[in-house]
Amino acid sequence: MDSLAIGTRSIRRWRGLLLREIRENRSLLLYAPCLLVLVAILLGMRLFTLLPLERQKAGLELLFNRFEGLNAPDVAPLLTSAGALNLLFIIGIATSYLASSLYADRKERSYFFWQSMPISDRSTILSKVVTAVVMIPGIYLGVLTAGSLMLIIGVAGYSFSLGVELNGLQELFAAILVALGFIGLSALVAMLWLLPGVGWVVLFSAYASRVPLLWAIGVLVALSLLEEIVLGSNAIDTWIASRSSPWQYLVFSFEDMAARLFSYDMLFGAALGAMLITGATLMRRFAD
Amino acid sequence: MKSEHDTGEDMERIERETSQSIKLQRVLRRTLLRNKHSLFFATIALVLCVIAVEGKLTDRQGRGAQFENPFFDLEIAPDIGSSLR
Amino acid sequence: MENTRQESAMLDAIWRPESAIKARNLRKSYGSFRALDGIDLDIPRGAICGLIGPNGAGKTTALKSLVGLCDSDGELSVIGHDPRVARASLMKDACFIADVGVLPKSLRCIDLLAYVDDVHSKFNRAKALRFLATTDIDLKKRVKTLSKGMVTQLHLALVMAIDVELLILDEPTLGLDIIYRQEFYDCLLTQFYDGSQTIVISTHQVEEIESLLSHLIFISHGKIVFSTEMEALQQRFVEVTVDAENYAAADALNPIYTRATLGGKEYLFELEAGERGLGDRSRFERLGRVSTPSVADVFVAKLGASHG
Repeated sequence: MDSLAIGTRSIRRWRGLLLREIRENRSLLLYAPCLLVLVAILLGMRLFTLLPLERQKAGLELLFNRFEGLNAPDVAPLLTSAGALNLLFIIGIATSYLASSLYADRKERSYFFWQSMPISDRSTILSKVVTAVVMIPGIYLGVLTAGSLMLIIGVAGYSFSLGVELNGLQELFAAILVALGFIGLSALVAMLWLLPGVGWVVLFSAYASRVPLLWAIGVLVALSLLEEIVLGSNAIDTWIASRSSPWQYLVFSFEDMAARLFSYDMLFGAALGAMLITGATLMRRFAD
Repeated sequence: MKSEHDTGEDMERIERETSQSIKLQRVLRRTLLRNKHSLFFATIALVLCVIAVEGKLTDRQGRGAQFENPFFDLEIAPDIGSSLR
Repeated sequence: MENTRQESAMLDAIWRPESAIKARNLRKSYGSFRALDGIDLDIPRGAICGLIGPNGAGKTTALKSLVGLCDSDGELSVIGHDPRVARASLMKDACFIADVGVLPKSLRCIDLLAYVDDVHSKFNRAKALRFLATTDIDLKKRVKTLSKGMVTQLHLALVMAIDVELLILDEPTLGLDIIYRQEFYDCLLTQFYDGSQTIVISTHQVEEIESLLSHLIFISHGKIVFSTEMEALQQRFVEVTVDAENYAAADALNPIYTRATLGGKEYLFELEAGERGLGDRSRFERLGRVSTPSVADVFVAKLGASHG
């Protein structure tokens, strides 16, 4: 078989693996982001419409006037920080997905079907890691972008109906788009930064016979306590704390992103994640 | 071109290495890969040891690594022990 | 290393090159429980082999070991692969159905077809769709909405559309009604098997598959109790329904098994090697009505003998 055919087959195999994850977890990967974004938008709209009409008009005028003439990349970081809650949603969805990724098929016994396919354990688990680190942020960002665009159009339409001048609409639109781009980059960097956590949850998903996420959290807390009581040290706590600043998860430029990706902490975290993921891969042989 | 003697030595070396590799695999299967519990504990122990040793070697502090942030002037941790590496 | 090479040479001499599955001293324990206790297997290519045993005998463990779904000790080669280190390679040329209901429930049928089409280079989607067109399965529905029988039909459609050398079935018709069970085996023989594939089936319902089998293996308590080709079975065992006046004479011939029936007693005899294949069974015909025993009767007899 020539290398082109092998490459095509490999791409097709990976397509099958990743599509499987999306199709099997439609509720979590597709519907949950749509619901979250929709609820956030509706909640924001509802809270805004509780204000008196004059206050609404004044607020919208202020918004458009402020953005008039502003440079989008200068303003985008503010909007990125404001949108940091989305990172929490992405991490939450990814954690929930990973916890069930190697547990659900053992529980419902579809493990025997998946293992009857010519896919190695390493490919299976890598596909789940890629789904968590790349696909989930990508899908969420797509939904967020669509929701944001619809929101801007809605806000612009409503403002126009109230007689508000839409002078800064173009700049607002550009700033939101740039901010969405930075949220996307931040999400990718955040998930890579969290590779040790990804590996930890995947290991428990492969090992635990029930409630893998609770086991993952519980064991971590227990180990941290034991270390302090038995050894009198805080290596685990210190390590987790050193990676828990919110500003480590937000990216505001491409240079920022490059600095994060090639930092020592990122690479060391990736190495730890790789160890845990390897453990989960070897664990698959005991899945029966 | 290798002589027969060299080829013979190569074969012995390959056999020795293969035998050592097989022996290592057998040892691993009897210890770490004995069952899922031994594998689980071994993985966690290894990772925690690496974290502990790394923390000692790099004098890791429990404050976040500072990344260049040109857009904000926020002081998250005034006395930072670690910095961008 | 020298010993290992010698052992390998001996094994190669013992195992036939045309064997699809070769196992020697296959062992698997769950804690202190020995699920497989030193099994030797030599299943030729093209065979349809039945693995028969009571609950807890080790059938499922044996089959799972063959496809690398559980770890095991001992020598093992399945169509040239060691499933413990090369499961993914093995599954390019082998398929496994682990009883009913292992298909992923949350997927739609069409998504399952798409997945297998993407990951399996030997899958023929058109063939699978042709088979599914003869069923009542709505491909847009999720697997969890299908009945047990339909799930089996779907799984079989997937398997039959893959051009494999080896098919391993672990109680594939468990819990299905008789119509689905008959359809399953009909399809297996008429639409899948062409004489070159090897099929290994484990089942409780021996009577159902008796007519399909070319080889037979009895397993109990993790050990192989008996194995033979089906043709040899018919020459090796004789069943006699003995009248009451001939009981003593029948007992004197050392039957391996007896059971009471309405008409009298049934005796099962195992013939010596020299007697097999010979036409003369007059000494049995004098005792009563001679017939060929069913696999179930031989199984019960052999199991009873192995328990002492």
